[in-house]
Amino acid sequence: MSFLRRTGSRLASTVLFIAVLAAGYGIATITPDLAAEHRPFLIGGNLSEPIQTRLFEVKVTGVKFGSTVKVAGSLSAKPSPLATGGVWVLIHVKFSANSKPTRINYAALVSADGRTFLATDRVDQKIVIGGRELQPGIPAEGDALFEIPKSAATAGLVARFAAAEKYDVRKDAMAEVVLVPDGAAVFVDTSALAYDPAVKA
Amino acid sequence: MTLRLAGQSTKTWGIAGAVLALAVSGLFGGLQEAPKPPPAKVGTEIVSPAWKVTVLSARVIASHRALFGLDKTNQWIAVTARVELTANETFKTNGIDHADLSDVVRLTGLKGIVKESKRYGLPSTRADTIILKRDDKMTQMLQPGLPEELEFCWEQKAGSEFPAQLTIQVLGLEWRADSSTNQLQWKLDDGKTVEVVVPLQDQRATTKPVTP
Repeated sequence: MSFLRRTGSRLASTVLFIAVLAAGYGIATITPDLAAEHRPFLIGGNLSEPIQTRLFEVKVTGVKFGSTVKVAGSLSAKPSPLATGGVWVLIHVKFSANSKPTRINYAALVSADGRTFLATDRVDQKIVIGGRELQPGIPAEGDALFEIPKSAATAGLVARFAAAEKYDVRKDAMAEVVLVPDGAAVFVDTSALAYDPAVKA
Repeated sequence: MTLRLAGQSTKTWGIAGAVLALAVSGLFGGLQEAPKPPPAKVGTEIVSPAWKVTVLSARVIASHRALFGLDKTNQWIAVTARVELTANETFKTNGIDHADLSDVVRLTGLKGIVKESKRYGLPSTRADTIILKRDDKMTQMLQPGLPEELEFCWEQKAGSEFPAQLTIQVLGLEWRADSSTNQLQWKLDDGKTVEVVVPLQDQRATTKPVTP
């Protein structure tokens, strides 16, 4: 009797232990990871529409796709025009700060299949990734350049911009602009796109 | 007999289980160090969950317009590899708590490296500078799905010896949650590191800095 009671007690302890482990695993599995919990708040819009975020307003006024890019005012002898194994995406964009000096430290394209492409570092970027500090009431516009594979240049491509204060995009507003609407085709220009790094106020 | 066994304390059962596990593991090599796989050959594509890497060549150079060292007389160890990101995001060179572009290849077993770093007490040094061969300029990022030839460069003290063949580590990655923050990130997977032995060409004479 004592043996049966002891064995039963151990069995119950083991079952309870496994149940606690299973419950812990279940909670850990269904709980979103930190990146999902801290994700930025997307505010969507289309080409030529102003999109208002907490710190800035953005309006993408043009988008072009090309196989090469010529950089205006480049001092280097080569390489100009710049070639790519994929597609260049040239965006003309206008920003204005809302209430305090602001920089656009985050600029990326997101393809329909979920890949994220940060603004390229193959050219100087002045309007995004930390370039010009925007002053409230003084809009500034310029070009931003991205490099993506051909497989990403399809319908569903969007651009995302965020102030990313302290280079952190978490838990803050992020503008999302549809560059290629669903069903639309992408035309890749075979002549060189003209990229101008200058920021115009 | 069965009753006597069943009547043993949990502690006794635990110790017996541990001894049995050790004995069984001993049959399969136990705690012996696992044999190292042979180094990969130059030109072999090494596939990891986040990237595909093919080491192409290695050279020692005196200077390059994209390289700025601590001392102008220092030389540079430069390894060229074709790298394709299969991860779904741009990789930069500034990962603080996660793997980044500088982790694609690491240098090991070379003396005189200016900024040497270690991993688990063993030399495993990240590149000081990465050159995008297409532009022959420094780069700090690589885009997913766009394979490029990159030259990974390490500054070495002037006059330091270097072997005829260089051993390069191509690191492997895994997508997993950080143990402290639970944030999903690309992390180094040391079990997937592949070594590549590549001939090292001395090009110092033809890459001397141009004096104005």
